[in-house]
Amino acid sequence: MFDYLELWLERVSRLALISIRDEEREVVLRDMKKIIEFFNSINVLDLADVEPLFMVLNERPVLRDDVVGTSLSIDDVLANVKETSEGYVKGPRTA
Amino acid sequence: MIYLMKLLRNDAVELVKLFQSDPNLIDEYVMETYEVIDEVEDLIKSYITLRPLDDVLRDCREVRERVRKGFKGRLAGLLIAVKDVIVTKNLRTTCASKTLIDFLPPYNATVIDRITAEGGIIVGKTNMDEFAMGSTTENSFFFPTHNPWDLSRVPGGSSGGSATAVSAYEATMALGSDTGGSIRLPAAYTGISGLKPTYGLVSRYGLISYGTSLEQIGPMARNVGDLALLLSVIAGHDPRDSTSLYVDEVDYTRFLRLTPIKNYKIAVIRECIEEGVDKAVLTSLNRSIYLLESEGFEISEVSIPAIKYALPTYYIIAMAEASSNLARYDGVRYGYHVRVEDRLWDEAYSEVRSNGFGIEVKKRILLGTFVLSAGYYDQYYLKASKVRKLLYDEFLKIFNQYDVVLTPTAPSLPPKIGEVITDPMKLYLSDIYVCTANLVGLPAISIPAGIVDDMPVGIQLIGPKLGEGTLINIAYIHEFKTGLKNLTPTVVRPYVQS
Amino acid sequence: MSSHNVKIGLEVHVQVTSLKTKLFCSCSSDYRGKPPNTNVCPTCLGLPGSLPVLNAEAVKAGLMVALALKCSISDLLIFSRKHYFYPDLVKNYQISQYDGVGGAAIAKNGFITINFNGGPKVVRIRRINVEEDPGKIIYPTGSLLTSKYTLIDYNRSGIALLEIVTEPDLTSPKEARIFVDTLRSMLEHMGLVNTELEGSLRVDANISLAGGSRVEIKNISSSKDVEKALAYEIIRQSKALEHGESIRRETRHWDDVKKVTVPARIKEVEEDYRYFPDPDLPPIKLSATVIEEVKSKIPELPDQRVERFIRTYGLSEYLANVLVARKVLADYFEECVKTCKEPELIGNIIVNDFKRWVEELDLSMNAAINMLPPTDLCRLIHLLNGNVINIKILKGVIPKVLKSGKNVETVIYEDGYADISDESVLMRIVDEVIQENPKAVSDALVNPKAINYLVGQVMKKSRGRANPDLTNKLLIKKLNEIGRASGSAG
Repeated sequence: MFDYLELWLERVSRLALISIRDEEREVVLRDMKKIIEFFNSINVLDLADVEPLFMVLNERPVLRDDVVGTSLSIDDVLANVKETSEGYVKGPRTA
Repeated sequence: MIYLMKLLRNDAVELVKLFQSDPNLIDEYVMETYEVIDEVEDLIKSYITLRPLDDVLRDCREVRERVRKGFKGRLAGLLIAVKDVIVTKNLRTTCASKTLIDFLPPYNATVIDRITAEGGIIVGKTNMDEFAMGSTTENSFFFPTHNPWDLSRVPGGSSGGSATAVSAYEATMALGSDTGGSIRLPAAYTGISGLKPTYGLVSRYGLISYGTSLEQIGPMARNVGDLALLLSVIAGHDPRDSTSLYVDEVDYTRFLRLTPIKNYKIAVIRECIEEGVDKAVLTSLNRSIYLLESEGFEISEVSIPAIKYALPTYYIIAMAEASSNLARYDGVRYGYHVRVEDRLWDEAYSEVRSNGFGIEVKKRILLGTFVLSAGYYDQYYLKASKVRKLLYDEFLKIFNQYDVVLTPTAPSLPPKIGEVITDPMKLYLSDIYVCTANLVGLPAISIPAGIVDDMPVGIQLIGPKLGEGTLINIAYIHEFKTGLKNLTPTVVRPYVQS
Repeated sequence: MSSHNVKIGLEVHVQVTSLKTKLFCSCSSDYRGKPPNTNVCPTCLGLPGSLPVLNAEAVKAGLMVALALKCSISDLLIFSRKHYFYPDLVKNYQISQYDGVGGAAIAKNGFITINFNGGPKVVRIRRINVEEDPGKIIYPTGSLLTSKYTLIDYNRSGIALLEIVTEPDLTSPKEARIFVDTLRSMLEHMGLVNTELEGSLRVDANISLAGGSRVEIKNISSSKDVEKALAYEIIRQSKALEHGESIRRETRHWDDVKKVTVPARIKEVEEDYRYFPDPDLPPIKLSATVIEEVKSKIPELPDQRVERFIRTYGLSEYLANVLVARKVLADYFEECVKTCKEPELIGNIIVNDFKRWVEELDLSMNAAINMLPPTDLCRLIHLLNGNVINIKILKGVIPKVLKSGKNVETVIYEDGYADISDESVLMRIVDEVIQENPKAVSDALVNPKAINYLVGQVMKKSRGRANPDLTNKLLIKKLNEIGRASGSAG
């Protein structure tokens, strides 16, 4: 079971770009196992004929007219950016 | 002038009236509040970011001048605490996370604009569970918040700091956010009132998302009148939120009347009182039932068998949405950052996310990622969405016959700090009665129903869509009958009495 | 090539450039040429707490394309989140659409009829998605591989895109090019996309040869390059297959400088987009009323225009098709015809000379039309009809205009076909012609139309350089003088 969980953790960690430190690992795996079992409790329900409800529907969703509004000032845009270069946001390598 | 009691002991509506007649009282009231904060904040730790007194006094002066010129803002001069999940322009907004430790939003949430337009003054940003993930306000990057009724206990969460700020008179009212009970649970644990509005009644623009389809911003106050006032200000359509309902502005204070608007029919959900509820909670609930019955309200027991699946359903959906909503925290545009030079994007992102998020947040993102991933989507996320539909339909049926649903807010008294945080199942269980309202998008209020062993106990009323008026009317009657209003924890008493 | 049994499917991404704002926020859609990160707001920067609100016009644009492409339209407009991490993607998910559980594409199962090898061919459309464009990554050293970091400009982030996906019905690179041209012309005619704007149309092509796996070529930015990239892939893959190598499923990039496809050197990231319906955007009913309203606003589409060109102007099917393949070209043609008639001649000149040179010189159609506006082309036709210049000279003038950017007047003057506009010089020639042609002069005195012969003689004597208007004016003046003189005498 733990091997399977280790593999599982590796896969979701890769998808979510979140790693679990070694010292946290045991507790996290134990908790995860409990929570997944808890999730599995809904599996006893037969829901074949039930339509899913993803959000509480809005009868008339908000749409926007195609009218230009104000953008942020460059100072506001870059205020929270840690690394910039000539107005650009500096990002990591992509290859 | 001599006052019989300190200004800050007044209800909000009374305070606003006093400020209208003498705008100079605003400063006095602010000073009083900051004196309380000076005395109790170190014990309770409500605020992540408390605005310096001088800044607040500057705002005061502005409001005072406006009032002198005839400004009749409904919140003119009132100090309001804001959960640190709601963005405030140029005022640090952290979500109690290292990830956003230095985030200065360049814009205000709609609710903030609405509050300041009515003359409300933001006193500070309150502590919470990181990204609103938790039920105790222990999962904060900064520090845990303590329950003013018993400092060794948690205040509930995730809007724990807002609850304690109000409960301990560190603010007159507060905004919380409620994804699965995060307003109501801490309200119950700290002896105040808290309301989660109908989904779409209050704008989410500027609310940092956790479980998008579930959450609403809502008011927290020491009495139902204050709660209704703050709700009236923040509720209403917002073109910046696609999930905002087209509703007219409502003055909820008109529901503050002791004669019931109608002869209410109240349903008690059997599954919520059958098992797993503390005796203290049941006793308080029964007293409330008795009291409401004596008002002539009709109270019946109903059964919703599917409700026992509400908790896992809630957690599957909340975590799924969280895993998506929290994908944006990669350190490039804001927040916790690692240097990018010579780093591949996925490595740099992984480092930021692994160091920036706390363990509970990480767990929820990973589980949320899992329930949406190929091969598991149908089994978890889709299935949970179907259970959600079952519950939605059940509640529609109930509200065909009843006006409100009554449940305990929490199954037990507030746990001790450290008691439940180590066991996710114990922790999640606190949300068992509150999370359903979020799944079905209905309004729900928690109000004090008793004080047992010097700890407050809350009950919850769930209303039909846009039934906030009904909830407030019943809560107001209940408050009057029980006298459970403006409850003051012992630790604060010396500082709020004159 | 066809021996390889080639299957090609395309994913065409077009920006709805007719919109004034982005898809989910009110930032301007006109992001080009602005300083970096000056066309952004909390929503298109993905700041915590920000929310998307859908541009109502974008829905109409999507519906119009769906209708033009004969698709069946979804009852509900549903947006889904597509998750992947990349520095140009502000939320690390793209708001897109998903044709699967919980989602829906705005439209699917349509088709486009293209003209290939003289006959019609139906290319099926699998689906159309409405989605947001990511920001733009710039590599400071100019290369993805050698740059130690990236520079990101989010001005483009959130621009409305339509993704149009075909079934693998295309069987050759040329066919693929014609498909893209046909689709582009349709989008132009609907007034939704200005395809001359850089980056407004991007194509990903999937190609498989019998015996090989599917290869995706990403990031092709013109129909010509679609043809080139696919032709390159066919040669590359068939060579490999002939050598007994296997073609593995992979993603390649089109290098539009070297004109080759290269393996995408991105890390092999597991593809699991974890689509789910975006809870920020409740589904929208696409009502029959809205669809009818959009339908009524679809302007003349290329196939109808081709038909009209044949019917009204007597053009050959070929000419009509080539003209209509680019809306600007067809508009140019009609503008010229309005000014100087002669549709067939104009059509031929535009297709065989003008368009050919525009392509040869790699100019944008709009720029070329600005260099040779309809009035100028008509001036050339006028000179041709007045026998001032012959067709060979006309054909020579066009590339000179397009290459030099000088106007028609200047080119003709510099080449010695210039007008004699000097009145005294021209009057001398007019006097000579009148003296030499007494018969024609007396004819012209009776019948004003006969003046044309005299104009022709002036042109001839001036070797075509006489300014026709001035010649006309001077001749009339002279004839009037003669008429008055003879009248008073008689």
